Amino acid sequence: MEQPEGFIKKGRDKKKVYHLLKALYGLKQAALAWNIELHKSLQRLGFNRIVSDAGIYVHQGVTRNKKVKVLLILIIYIDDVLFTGSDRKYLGMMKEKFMKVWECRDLGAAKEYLGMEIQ
Amino acid sequence: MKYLDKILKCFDMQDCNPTNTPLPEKYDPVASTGESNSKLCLQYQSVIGSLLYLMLGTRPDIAFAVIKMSQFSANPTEDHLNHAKYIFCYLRANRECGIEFKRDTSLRVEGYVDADWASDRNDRKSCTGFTMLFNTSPVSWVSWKQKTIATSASEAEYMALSDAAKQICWIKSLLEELSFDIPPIILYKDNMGSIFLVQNPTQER
Repeated sequence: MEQPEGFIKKGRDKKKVYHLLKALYGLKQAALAWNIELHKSLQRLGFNRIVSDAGIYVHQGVTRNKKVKVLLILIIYIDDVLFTGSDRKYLGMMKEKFMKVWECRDLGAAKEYLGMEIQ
Repeated sequence: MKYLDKILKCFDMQDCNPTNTPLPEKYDPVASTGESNSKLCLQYQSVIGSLLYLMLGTRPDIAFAVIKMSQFSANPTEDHLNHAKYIFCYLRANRECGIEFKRDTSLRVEGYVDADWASDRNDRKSCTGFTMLFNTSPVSWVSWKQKTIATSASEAEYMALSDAAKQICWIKSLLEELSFDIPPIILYKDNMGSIFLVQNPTQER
């Protein structure tokens, strides 16, 4: 990384550049930066990205009282996230945790995804 | 609004005559030899692009027709455009069609694969088609022109089998990662020659 042409001030150190803490919107690096950020947050919530498809995360857990095994599957498309799983209550709990991390809207049961209508 | 209705309206096809097939019977498109017309080209490519998106989402039934017509995107003729629009007429007749997934405790995954031989008159390449069913509902479908010229029907079918088997490998690994317990996946094929080759690859090079 170096200073762009025309920004270099005479007498100042040429090697000094700003270190960006956040990805800038619209840059070609922004998409990857967003995905890495989302990936990290999902890992913290206990979701694992599967190898076969980088847009799918799974979470294996157990319900608090009955100790039933629960499997949650997350489908990610850029910033559209679809939650599905074998236990409604557990799913709701995880969704709440996710919504604390990211500012988002819960659209309820999926009616449309990627232009595909779901009935 | 449904995506299909949107594109029907966009290309002014909402009042077209419904047809029963995506393309007319025995239609065999020929590549254009004339100069390309940039205006026609743009229109043709946007028609194909809209149809491709629809096909990839929920319409395996138009896969062959769309892929066939998309092969003329670089230099389309009026005739090509009319036939690409013919697909809209078919879609209009079947606009309520979708894919139904039924709730089921058992799980069965199967694949059907087929190929034609030297169907393309312009370069004599064959065409592969396959679909993977998840409890009888299609989840993955393909129709594409093969990259290599097959010198026999069995060879074309064998190449199609190879592509389908690769897709099955991926589906299997995906389902395993999602902790599904799946029985062996069966791949169906109607060409005896290629089945024999799979079981006993004596002519394998």
